[in-house]
Amino acid sequence: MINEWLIGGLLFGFLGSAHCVGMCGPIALALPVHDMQGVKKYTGILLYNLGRTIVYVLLGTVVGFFGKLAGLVGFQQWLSVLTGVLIIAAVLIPKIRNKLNSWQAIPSNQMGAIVKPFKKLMKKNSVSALFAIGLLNGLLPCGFVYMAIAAALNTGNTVSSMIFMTGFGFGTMPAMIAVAMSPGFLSLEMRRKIQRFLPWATVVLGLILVYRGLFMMGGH
Amino acid sequence: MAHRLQVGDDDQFHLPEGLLIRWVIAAVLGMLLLFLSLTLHIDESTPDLFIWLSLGINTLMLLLLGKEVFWVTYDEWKTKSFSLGTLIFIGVFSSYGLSVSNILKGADNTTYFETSGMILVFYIGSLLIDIYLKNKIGTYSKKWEAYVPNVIAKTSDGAYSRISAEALKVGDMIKSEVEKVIPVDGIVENQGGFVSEAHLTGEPTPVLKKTRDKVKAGSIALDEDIEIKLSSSYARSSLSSYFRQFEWEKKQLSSYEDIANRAASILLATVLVLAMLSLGFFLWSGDTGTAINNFLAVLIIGCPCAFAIATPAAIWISHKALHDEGVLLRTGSKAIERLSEVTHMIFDKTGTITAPANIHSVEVVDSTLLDDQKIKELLVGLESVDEHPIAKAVRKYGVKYEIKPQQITEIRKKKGLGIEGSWLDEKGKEHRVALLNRAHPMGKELEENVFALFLDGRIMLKIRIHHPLQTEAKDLLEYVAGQGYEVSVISGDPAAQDEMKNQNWTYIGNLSPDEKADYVQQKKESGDNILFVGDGLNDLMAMTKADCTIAMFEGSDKNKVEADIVFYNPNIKYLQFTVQKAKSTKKIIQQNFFWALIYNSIGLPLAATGFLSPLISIGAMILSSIFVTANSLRLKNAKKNTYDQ
Repeated sequence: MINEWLIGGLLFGFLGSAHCVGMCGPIALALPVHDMQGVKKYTGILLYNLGRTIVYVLLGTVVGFFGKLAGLVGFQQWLSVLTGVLIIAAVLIPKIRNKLNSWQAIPSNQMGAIVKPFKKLMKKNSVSALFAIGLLNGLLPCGFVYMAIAAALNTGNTVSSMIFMTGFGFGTMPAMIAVAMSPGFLSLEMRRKIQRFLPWATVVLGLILVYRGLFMMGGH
Repeated sequence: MAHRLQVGDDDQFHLPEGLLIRWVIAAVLGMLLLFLSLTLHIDESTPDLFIWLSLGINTLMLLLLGKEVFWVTYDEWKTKSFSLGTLIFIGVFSSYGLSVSNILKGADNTTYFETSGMILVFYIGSLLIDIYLKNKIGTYSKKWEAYVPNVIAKTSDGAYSRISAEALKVGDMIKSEVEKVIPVDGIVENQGGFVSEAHLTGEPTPVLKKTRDKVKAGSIALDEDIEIKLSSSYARSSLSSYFRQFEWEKKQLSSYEDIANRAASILLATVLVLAMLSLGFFLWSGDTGTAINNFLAVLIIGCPCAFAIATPAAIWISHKALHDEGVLLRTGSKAIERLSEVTHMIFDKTGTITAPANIHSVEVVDSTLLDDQKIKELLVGLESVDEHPIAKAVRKYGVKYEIKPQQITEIRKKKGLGIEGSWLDEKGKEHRVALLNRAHPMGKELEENVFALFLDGRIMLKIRIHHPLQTEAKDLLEYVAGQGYEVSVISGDPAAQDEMKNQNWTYIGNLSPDEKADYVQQKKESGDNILFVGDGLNDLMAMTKADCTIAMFEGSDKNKVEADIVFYNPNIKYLQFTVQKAKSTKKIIQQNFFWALIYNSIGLPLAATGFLSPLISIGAMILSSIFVTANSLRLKNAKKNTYDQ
């Protein structure tokens, strides 16, 4: 059971990581690691990614807790259907989609509260700053993370939710580490192509959640 | 309390960044910890791994932030001034220690890691906010200091020129005028005079500075122009002056801060006693778990975090709003407190509600010795460096009519009487030139607002000065009178101009500085709370009698450093906005206190009797701090509502 959630998270993160490269790639590129040498550089990049993952695990814990609560009050099936419908609606209804896209399109230097500390931290040439950048990065509004959270919410308990989000974080790492190491990784064109695939994957996830919820109700 | 926290090592005040990073990391870990605990609480089947994870995260958090709590507590014990730090120390380490011992015993899996972690995050968070707010307030005072004055530099050939203070080097000579802040540290080179260091040291008695004495940047020459040889650059001097002033002003607490400090210490004592009582009682009744729970809940709910930020948050936000309109609260919350209680507004007329002086007419009286043009050149030359409004008006006149100033040396101001200097004619003969008013024995025949230029005691030319009323001033006076304030306009001028006569306010002319002060004193004794708005040195005595004072930026520096509030913007219309802001800020501070207190007074008994778990206490603590901050933010969005909008 635990392995399934871990593998699920890893796959989900890995398959969607083109989105991460597209959205958070600029941050990964701007990481103050270029003056660092050898081990320090790799530690820095790793800590940045660990920071992100820890926040994902935190989010997993939070939604896992609420998922568990929903389960305790017998609301779990409905939660599954509801999140599934919401996810599909977010892709298919232009108004919601545009709104979500516009949130993501805000240039990272204007995102106020979350991004302000970034600027200061970006100048800091220390690995602890990189870790903190990772933590803050994990809090940036991101459609892909919301989808992962929606899935985690429906794992039904905190442990699974945390494990799923851990897997998700690690799944996104290969692409993000590659970007931080070699700026030329993945062309813009390639990223666009992969991006186009994402809405379809989203709808599929939504459908699975709805189906699962309905199935669970039938099973009762 | 938190002086071990490194607040910045250079002239820039900023947040201690290392601590900020550590705090961000700890805050995220703390949230994780909180939800791990919540899960442990609701889900029996949660694996033991969660407990070990909690232990690891809490330990990491202690490594990140424990040092700060330790030092703050250590300082409190060393100085025997027990405060919040001690409380936090007990809370953080007892909950951590108890949890670890419970795990080691293996019998009981009850842990309090989230309590330990969250107290830590919130305490250090509130310290950071406190430092941030105080630095912000500090930067507003600093902005005023950052205004670089022009100074009169003396060149090697004895001539004077007005240059920016930043261009000065160590060893340069400057002349510091009466009523102006001395911008640099230096050594007196001429005979010296009395200076005021009141706003640097709090010592009101003027200090006599003689030849070779040291003068501090930020002092103000009171009776004589002082020639100073620089002993440090402007940047260095003004910085130290800023710090001296900042240190002094920090000691000036308003009654709000006083109340907050006293309430916090009473609260802390109550909390410790209650916590111990609760612990003792439940231990005695044999229920160790409840005893520890209640003990921790009392410690958390008793944290006066909201209390501590109630005043600085509101003051900072109104500081910013006012600063954007060119209004500087020099005495911070004190200014707010005093201004909001004003019932009677007294305005000095000239310079305060009048626009800058201009020259109404120039009349050459005697052109037998010199031609008209040369006489006017002498006039402009004599006023070429002075900062007095009359001098500015003369220079403006000179520019307008393209009058080339004559070279005048040894310029000396005669306080309240005029200005004099020496002039060499084409044959190299030296003459005394003076511009005097009717207060001087030589000018006793002159009318009010008329100055005469004397050459070797012989009257050559008369200028008539006009002080037009600011267009907004009359509206403002009407408005504040309509708002129920008693309004007086007082002036040294003898007769009221027609435009000043109005049934809504009192106009009293022909007052000497002493009589102005007496008037304020008399009104104060009759029970009024006085606001005095003035600009010149002649208002200073009246200002010391008033409850709250506002100085105009264009006026004397001495007034500015004595005043509660300074208007950069030479327009009195911002008074209305300032008063409104002060009133709403006072209201917000009172509300903040009320909510912080209500929450403590309801929460404490509940926690002590076991109706409040540590987790809920943490929630309440967070909520109350958020409430206080959000409530203060309302000040930012308040409408300006000046009478002309």
